[in-house]
Amino acid sequence: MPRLLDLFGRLLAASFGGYALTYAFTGTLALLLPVPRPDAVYISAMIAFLPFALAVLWAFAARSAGRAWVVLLAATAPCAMVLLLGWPAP
Amino acid sequence: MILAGLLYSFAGMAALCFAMDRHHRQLRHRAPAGGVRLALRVLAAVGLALALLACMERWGWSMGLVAWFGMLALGGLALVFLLPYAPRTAAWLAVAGPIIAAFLRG
Amino acid sequence: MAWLHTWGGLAFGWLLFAIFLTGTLSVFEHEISHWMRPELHRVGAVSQAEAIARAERLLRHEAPHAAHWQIVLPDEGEAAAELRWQQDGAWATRYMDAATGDPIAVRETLGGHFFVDFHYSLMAGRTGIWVVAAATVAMLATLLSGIIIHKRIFRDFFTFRPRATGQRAWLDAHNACGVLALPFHLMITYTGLVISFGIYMPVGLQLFFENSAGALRSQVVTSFERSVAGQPAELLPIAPFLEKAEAVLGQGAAQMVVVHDPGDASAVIEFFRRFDDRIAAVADHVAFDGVTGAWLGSQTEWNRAALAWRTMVGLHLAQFGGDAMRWLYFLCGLAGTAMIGSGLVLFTAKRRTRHAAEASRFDRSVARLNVSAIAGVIIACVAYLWFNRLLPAGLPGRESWEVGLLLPVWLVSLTHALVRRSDLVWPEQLGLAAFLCLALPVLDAATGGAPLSAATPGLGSAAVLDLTALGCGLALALVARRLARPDARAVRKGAADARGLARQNR
Repeated sequence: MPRLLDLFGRLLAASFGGYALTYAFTGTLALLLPVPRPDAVYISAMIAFLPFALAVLWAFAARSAGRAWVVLLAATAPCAMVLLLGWPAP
Repeated sequence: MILAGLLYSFAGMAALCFAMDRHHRQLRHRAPAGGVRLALRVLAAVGLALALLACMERWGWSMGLVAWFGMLALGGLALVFLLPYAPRTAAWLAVAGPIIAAFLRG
Repeated sequence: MAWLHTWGGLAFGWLLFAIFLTGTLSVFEHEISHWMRPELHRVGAVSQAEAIARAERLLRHEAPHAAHWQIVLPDEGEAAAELRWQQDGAWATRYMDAATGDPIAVRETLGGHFFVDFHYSLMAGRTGIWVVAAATVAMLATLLSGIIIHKRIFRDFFTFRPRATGQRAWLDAHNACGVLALPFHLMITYTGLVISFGIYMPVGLQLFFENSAGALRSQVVTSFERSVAGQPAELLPIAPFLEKAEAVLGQGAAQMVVVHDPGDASAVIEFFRRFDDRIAAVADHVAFDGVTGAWLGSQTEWNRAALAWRTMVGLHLAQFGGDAMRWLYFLCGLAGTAMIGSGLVLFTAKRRTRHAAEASRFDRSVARLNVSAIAGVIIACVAYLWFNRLLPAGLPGRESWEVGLLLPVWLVSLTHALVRRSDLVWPEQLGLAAFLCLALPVLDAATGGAPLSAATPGLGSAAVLDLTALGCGLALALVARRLARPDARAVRKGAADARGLARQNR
């Protein structure tokens, strides 16, 4: 894969992919934690940025942009599922 | 207590530093013997522990811990920027510091 | 990983330098604000009860129909009382000499809060907060990647070779500032992100609180405000409540008094506790009925998760533990700022030694832009204090002028960095920064400041600020001297060093 495209792919993975993973993970945590709602929001918020940092590192440590995306999506998908299914009705 | 903490931190970091070959050489132009190295490391641990105690005495458990990390950082930085210019001075400060600090406690 | 650290560091480094520097200055926000209001330097201290009584008299006179009154009580840092009130949706502020009850005409200024504002939002509201957040994530990644690529992190723990030329001295300095204060850097970066999660990671709020941070807050902070009754009723004198409040909050622990709907039957008098003696940024509070004097309630216990979050906020705001703690934060913050600055300079130094013969246009541009990103930003920060004293106190809109003039100052720095002879850019700009710092005490004394006022015992905070500026000026002058070395010699020796370094690293 041409170097510039690979770089671009990694940047997108780090930023958008990382954000998506963080959002989904944080939301899932907030939903699943067996604590009152305010507590769940605070606790999940405090942990949230660890996966983001790791996602950014992964986006550049992975062997290719493609691999970076695959792993990030694989981690995001189950969380996104939980979030979508568990989203409280209005 | 605050000054004591800083003096202990500096001394502890200095002991840790002079236990290393590279920096021991800066002082005595030879590598430290095994026993000397161990002694310095023990002194370093003691110094850092005393610094932690000083911080906790002044601030309590939680704030004291935060302050301790800060003092280690600043003690280390002071040492690192002093070392290339005046290794002997750094060593003397590391020796005199805890003695002064001990009197501060009383 | 090395690529991420180098290029992530460069891409975000310019922004992060400014964010880190203004953040470091924010530790002393209140002292800077005090310095920037020289009209307050000669005010003497009185008891809190007296201050409250006089403040109330002034408030009844100036804003009898306000929706809220706030009295920020005098403390060790500020002998004047700050009065605020909200009327018709807008907030007004007055400063009062607590000893006489007279309002003090103070120049309009954002004070130290400018540094706070710039630090977390680049003075650009929500968009700015997002940008800072992105830079902070990059900072976190850059820190972590820096740890990963630092192969000999323990062996090089105390290494600093200032006489080595080219990149080695800068690399050592960069590593020292980074590694020795690493717990601080990681903590400050992560906690910074966690503070404003409601803005850029709001999923929890969206799930359970209709994306309202206020709704979440109302779950954990007890509100004693009551809906307006619309019936006028005489407000009881506030000062006698201080003693009752202190019974709950602690002797001398009250920091702020708030009155909701003074003059109405629903009036509430609320006392807030100081929180500079704990890490968590939460203020215990106690409330009384403003008309009958009845006890309405108090909050001294907090939801544990909220408390944990406010502990992270408190760790970042650094307004606890007294002056010594804040000095620790300030110095570690300077180390972090120096880490970023030295990293930017290192980028250029490394490229110069690698392509020793001919520096590319890119490298030369980066080298020049570094100057305005570092020296230019420092100049702007000090210039802010200069404008505070040079602009007339009565100038309309001076608050905006003080801040607004900083952009042209920085643009001049940028222009100078781009067009001036390359070996003069650093020494001249750092030299100017040094001069502005060194001359600050003179400016202070000459323009109405009273750093050694008889009103404050010992060395007041304004005097300490002047001394700190002096110290920074000296440091800047030293660095300016160091950076004024002729390029050619450094490049040749640097190239030889680079080859030696490469052989060592293999």
